Amino acid sequence: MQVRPDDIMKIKVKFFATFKEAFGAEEREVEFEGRRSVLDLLNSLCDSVERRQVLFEGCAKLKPYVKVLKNGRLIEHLDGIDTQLVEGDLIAVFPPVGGG
Amino acid sequence: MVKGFNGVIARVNLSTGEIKKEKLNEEWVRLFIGGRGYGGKIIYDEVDAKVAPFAPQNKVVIATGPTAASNAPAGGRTMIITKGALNGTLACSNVGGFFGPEFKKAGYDMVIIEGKSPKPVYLWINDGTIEIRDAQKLWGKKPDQIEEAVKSETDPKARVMTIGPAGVKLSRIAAVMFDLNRAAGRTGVGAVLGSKNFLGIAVRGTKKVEIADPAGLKEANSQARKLLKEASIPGEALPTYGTSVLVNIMNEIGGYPVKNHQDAYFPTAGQTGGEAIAEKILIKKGACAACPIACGRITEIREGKYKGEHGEGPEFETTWSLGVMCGIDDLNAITKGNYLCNEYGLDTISAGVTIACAMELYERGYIPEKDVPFPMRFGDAEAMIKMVRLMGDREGIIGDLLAEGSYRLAEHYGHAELSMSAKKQEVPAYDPRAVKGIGLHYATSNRGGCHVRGYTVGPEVLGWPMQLDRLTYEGKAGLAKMFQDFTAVVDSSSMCLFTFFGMPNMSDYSPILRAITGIPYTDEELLKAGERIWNLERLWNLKAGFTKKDDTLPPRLLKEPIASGASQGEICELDKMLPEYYKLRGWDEEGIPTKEKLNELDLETPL
Ligand code: SF4
Repeated sequence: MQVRPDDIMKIKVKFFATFKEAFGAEEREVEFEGRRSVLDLLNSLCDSVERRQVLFEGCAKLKPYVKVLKNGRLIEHLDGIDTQLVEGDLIAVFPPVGGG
Repeated sequence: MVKGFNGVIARVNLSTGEIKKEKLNEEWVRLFIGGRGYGGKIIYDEVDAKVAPFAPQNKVVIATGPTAASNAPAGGRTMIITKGALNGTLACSNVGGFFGPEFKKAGYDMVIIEGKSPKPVYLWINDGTIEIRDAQKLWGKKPDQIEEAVKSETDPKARVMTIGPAGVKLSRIAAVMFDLNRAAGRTGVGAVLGSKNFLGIAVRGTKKVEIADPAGLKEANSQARKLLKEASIPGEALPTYGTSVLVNIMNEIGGYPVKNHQDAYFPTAGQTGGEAIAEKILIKKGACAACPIACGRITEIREGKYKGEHGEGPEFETTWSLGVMCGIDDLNAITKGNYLCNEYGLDTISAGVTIACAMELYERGYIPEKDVPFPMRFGDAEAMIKMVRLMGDREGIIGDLLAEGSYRLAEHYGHAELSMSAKKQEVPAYDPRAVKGIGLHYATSNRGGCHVRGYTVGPEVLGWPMQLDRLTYEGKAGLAKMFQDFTAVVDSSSMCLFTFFGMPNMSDYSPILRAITGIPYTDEELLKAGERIWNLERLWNLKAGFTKKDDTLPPRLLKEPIASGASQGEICELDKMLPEYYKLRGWDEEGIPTKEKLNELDLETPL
């Protein structure tokens, strides 16, 4: 879908496991104007030093173990942190998880 | 002499009542390590691969490896190796709890159970002595009743492994329960014990097992514990949320099978995840012997119909199999279903997948109404619970069939293709259409559909120890082989596979194994041992009659695209991985190990 710069775009975001403590358990909707990337979105959500420290290790670099999925696909397999968002995208953010 | 073992294997003939002690073969320790590997070699040599699983000629090896009773982290696991009741493969089921170290401290490394007792019995192993005891009064009772009675007849400090009512009734998906709630679940090992009129073992041990290099072991153990503490998965995610922390990520990627794999995404699956478990039912975490991870969940149902009931679980696989696999997102009902499986001694994966299969057969009209006492529809939590009971009791036509597992159930109604199994064993909670490498592993796993012996999900989904693309086929053959060989080593040592989440290299394990045994294993030799174990199991399966045709997945996973969610449209194209896998394994195009490969692995050519 085409996103024009003056469009308002709504993105859904969910945090899981230990990240729920820092960012809350509820799915939230974030509104943006114009083209935005995963980096823009996460930057806007990290509105305190504590929150920033949970996800980032540099200004544009996520901690190595933070898993970000856009519509179920890891951003590593898309365009990384610069992956562009479009209206209706669902972003899921996970700390390291494992089991069997 | 090799250290870290007692050097003694007990052989108990249930037909004659004869009990013998035999010497551990030290060369086999070098070649097969212990536990799964060594036990597999015993079955390979002593049991005709064509024998029926319930025939007295089948044998059961209950085995520990070198790390049991060594204080190696999560190193106290026990393995049961036999010709499996569910599919006749060289089966092995691996279990935690506290039995393994106790058994080893009682002076034995393994016990071989052979023959068939004329009446129900159990073994009492007490610091070296072994007694066959009458179990007629306990036969068919629940594990908690058995454990209480056996402890009062033997020693209150005894550790107990026992079958439950399902094993007594020869359910092909019966588990052996350890310390009440830990299950050697897979492959129907509980039914093989049942067929021998063998209830289980109570053991008490206070001896010390000699270690080759105690100072070296102390150092190696503390290094390993440090790795486990510092890594995020074993150090934080697993203790905090248990294994069900995987529910959300599997669902978000669209790889969480729903309603007998008719889909792979369930919008409300999160209500049953590790986070919800921690919030709603968790009392405290639980750990097996010497385990710093403590992924176990001690739980209590706090609301609704089952309020006040308590027990252990659910773990991830159970959360799924009794949950969204049956279209159910009611955590309390799933937990109750889990408690019931533990009481009956049923494998929760196979139980849930078999119930899901029955639900689909029923909804499609393939099961006639006269065969079922109530409607069996997806999403009906009450029906799921009642079906666990029917299965455990083998009650009525449908209960009798449910107890046989999904393949025989679906085949009976003329739709074997609706059994979500590989080599007749129900496949676990990762949809191969969304995670390609795990599909190859399911298809090639020597004990049939199983995730733990080749957990490619680590890199394909969880990014551990590296991140791979779950939707591509390239490199997955090598990945599956690598994980399969690696896991054969970890299993055979007696360590828990979850240590891998902090210890991804063989060099994280080898110092422990060297220090315990005194065998100067190199990392390469250990991985070679893992490959040898894998090939030995394969050879035995070939002798049992398995062929390339059996290295496959249910047709639905090969052909039917995922209906919704993040992996919508995906199928698993196994033929893009299998030929390369055979090649990397050194097998011919029919999946038979070549002479060269067998020579390289010091294995005979048996075919
Ligand atoms: S990680 Fe979990 S299953 Fe493994 S030994 Fe520890 S508590 Fe048991």
